[in-house]
Amino acid sequence: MNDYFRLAGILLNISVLVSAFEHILVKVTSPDALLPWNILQLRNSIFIGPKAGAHFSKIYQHKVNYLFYTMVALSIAGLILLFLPGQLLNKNAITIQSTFLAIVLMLYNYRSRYALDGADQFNTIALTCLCISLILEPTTGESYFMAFISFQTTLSYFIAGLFKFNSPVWKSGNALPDIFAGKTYGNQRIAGLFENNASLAKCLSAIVVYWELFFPLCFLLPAELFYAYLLVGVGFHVFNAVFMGLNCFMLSFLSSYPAMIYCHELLHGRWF
Amino acid sequence: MIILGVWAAISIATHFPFFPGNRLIFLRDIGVIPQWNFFAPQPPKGDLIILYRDKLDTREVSNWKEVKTKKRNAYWCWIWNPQKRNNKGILDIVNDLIMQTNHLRESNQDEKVKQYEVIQSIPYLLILQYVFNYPTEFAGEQRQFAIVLRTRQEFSTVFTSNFHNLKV
Repeated sequence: MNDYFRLAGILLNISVLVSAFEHILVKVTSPDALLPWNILQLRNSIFIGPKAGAHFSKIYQHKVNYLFYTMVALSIAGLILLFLPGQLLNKNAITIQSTFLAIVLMLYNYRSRYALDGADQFNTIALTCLCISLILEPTTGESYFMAFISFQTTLSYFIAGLFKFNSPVWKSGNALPDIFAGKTYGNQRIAGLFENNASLAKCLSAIVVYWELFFPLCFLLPAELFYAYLLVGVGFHVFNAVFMGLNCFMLSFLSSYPAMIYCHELLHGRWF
Repeated sequence: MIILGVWAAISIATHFPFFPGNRLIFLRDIGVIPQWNFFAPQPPKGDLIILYRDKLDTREVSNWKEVKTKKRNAYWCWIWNPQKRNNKGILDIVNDLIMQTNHLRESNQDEKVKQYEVIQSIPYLLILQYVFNYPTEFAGEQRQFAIVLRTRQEFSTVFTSNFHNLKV
């Protein structure tokens, strides 16, 4: 297993670990909080049926939600496995760990579609892909995994850029001031900066939209320019984490950057 | 790897209106079909605030109170931001309630049926139970909630619930 794979796996497991600890602390799923199971289960009759309903309730309705503790245990196990030196690194153990972690994440996502973000989506997709790749292709599975998470990140930037490009709010330059004026993702200092300087907001909006939209083409660039393009992405995620509080979004998406470097090297080594 | 190829194709197609997404709703619910249009086409505009008030047995009504959300820690939120779960949850639930209400408003159903469907909806029940968790100060008999949109330009009420009995 190469170092790119290790780094991608480490960042992915850290993201899941942070996310699980955050859930344990805020208890958003407990019976007296925002997302109690006694109401969420009403959305589908299978949850309140006599047999299946009882099983779902066992998983979801505990005051202490064991799904999060399982996420913590499995992501720590993953980190230990990925930090082991080369000869001790066991691919079978990683396959088992990623399979169980992917199942736990799917179960959590299925509980409710509320309070989830891009990081939850990315972690579920990446870990599901990891276990499928390693089960079906034990020798080359990690390459498939890295290609697939590179594809998903590229697609995510492109789709986000495309939707923003067609959005009147983004075109007008009002999107960033609107986002930063709110409490959920906002920041008063940045909001004030945009309030006093509308052209800065418009300029930054355009940079974000075009950087996202043209992301798929960066794989065609020579190595130095490709790294520079990725560096803008690192800056973008760090900015989102510091000023918008999107910490897990940063960890999850940056986990695909080593994979993208690997894919770029592969692409240019073979075809260009 | 045919599975990954099909998965990649679905991941692209799901973002376009021609794709019959409702057939794969289970895969979307478990989180393996992505929705990557972050903050677009409509980014969150300002804050959606939940307010509640109580009706007393004398039929007097208390002042509106805001359901406070905790602010994130400015120094640590880049790595540790547990409050985002609650705040994002409120944003998602309130947006869903507004969307469902608007959808029903456009339908041709009877007004009573529309109101019944709103009250029975999951986002309505979630907000109602959430505001019911807050203690009543004046021995209130019934509680009502409202959702207010606070943007850079305006302050407007977007939803008001019925009064509901606090005691069963």
